[in-house]
Amino acid sequence: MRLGIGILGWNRPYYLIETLRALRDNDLTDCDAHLFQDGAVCRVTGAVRAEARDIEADVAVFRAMLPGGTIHQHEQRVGIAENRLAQLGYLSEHYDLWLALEDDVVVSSQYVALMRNLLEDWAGRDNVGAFSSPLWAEQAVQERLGYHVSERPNGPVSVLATRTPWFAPVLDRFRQYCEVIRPYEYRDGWPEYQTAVRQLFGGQNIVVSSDGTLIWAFQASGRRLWGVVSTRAITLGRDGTHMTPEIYQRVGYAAGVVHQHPEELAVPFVDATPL
Amino acid sequence: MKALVTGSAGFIGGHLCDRLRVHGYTPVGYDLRDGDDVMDGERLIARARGCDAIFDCAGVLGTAETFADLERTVDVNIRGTLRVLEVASALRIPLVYLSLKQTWHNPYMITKRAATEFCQMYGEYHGLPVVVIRGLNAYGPGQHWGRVRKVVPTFIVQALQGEPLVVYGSGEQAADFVYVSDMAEVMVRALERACWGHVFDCGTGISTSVNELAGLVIELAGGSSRLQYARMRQGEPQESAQVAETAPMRDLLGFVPDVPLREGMAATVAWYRAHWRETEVAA
Repeated sequence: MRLGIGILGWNRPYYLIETLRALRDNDLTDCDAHLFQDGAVCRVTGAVRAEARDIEADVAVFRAMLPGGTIHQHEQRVGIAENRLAQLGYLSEHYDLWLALEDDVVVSSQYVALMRNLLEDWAGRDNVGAFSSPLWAEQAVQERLGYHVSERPNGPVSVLATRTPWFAPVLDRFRQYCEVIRPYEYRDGWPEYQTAVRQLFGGQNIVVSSDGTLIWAFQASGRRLWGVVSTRAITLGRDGTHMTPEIYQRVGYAAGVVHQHPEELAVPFVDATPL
Repeated sequence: MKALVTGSAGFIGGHLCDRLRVHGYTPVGYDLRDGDDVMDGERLIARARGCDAIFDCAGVLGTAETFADLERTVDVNIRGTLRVLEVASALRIPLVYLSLKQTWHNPYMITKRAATEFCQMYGEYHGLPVVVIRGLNAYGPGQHWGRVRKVVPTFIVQALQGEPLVVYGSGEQAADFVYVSDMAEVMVRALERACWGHVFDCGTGISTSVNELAGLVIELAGGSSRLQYARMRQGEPQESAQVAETAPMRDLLGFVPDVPLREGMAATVAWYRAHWRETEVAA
């Protein structure tokens, strides 16, 4: 069965190179890669939010490093939420098994095969929304629970693996959110944006970012976000919101090491939640 | 697994730490910025204990700049590497040494060459598992500019500011520009494949003139800078053509740097557009 891989792209080609390098180290047989590339000029305000040349660089890097891939280019800047909706919607429409990554995620060289195994092993389960990967895990935990999965209520959504039937109710909720925020820009329309999203959440005080809302969408649709216990992906971000030097300083660099064990592909997955 | 990286706060050392984490290694940083001096043997051995590998990326850099800093260049680049070799040898830890392909007559390159010879001596006569990577012109996000003139960040910053790009000599000197994480990948693979005793060139094998590089940078930065020619600097030859021999990397490491120059440079320009002020080192 073909597996779709969708990557969100904006204006950080220097991270995208590393995301693609890591993907390329995987066996990509029966996989299709897609770049969902945001634009430079905000569709709501008309403000320039990125250098057009940096957007072009993103596209050029993708073309050079994964020449068989497909580019889905927005004419204008639609923002992370709308771009993510395009990514999740397209993958749901065209694939049964798929992976959704952000542009600064670096996965292990067994990640694609591991996720394929996991999605196939757990196909009969009805309580799954998607699998995430912790962006860091304590070394001791990695060693003890290396091959296991566990429910991660707040797992990062920057790297997801799922099946379309699992994800369908989550996507419905996320689409609701995108419809609510469509008239606003996240940056300049913040107060209106925040009010509209809080109304969608029924007044709950939930993080209203695209990441926070996706986590809410899992919870609201009764689908669980599971994760492999040890780190199969890290974010490189020396800037942005992921693993900045400050965060690494706090959690320790040792935590941000990719768990690379080719032999794990032969080991069955175990639900480690009770542990 | 742990790997000690000397010069870990430097351009290549920093990217190497990222690459090591992707390969499943915990990098242990060792950099003068944090008070970790390669000349300090006791400190070095204490930090190296428990590590599974050492990557030696520390050094005093610069071509023309090192003439005025000869003693320190010799101390750090030769005696410092000898300290690293002694520690690696005492603890029986494999060593990956970052050297240079160029053989110009300036203190930087002379000392790196000498240190390379010492690495081979330790391999031959002390049985140390050591591999040498002779890097060509590494470029990418995060390379410092200002005090030591590195051609890529200097050109990019000049172009982003709309200033003339200063080219020394005719600009027809040919170089091999290799994306920094490609170089880091080569270094990690050389360790993982246990290529002891080997000396690898690390580059793309593709020749690009300084004039071509300048034109590309101006195009990607989107400015209207022009080229300004100046006399060749001390320690850099009028004519040079250095490219990597890629066959050994392909045959023994299964990898040849392949981020194309245009795309790698576009990514690098994008990074400097957002961050160039952070990487200036005052003279």
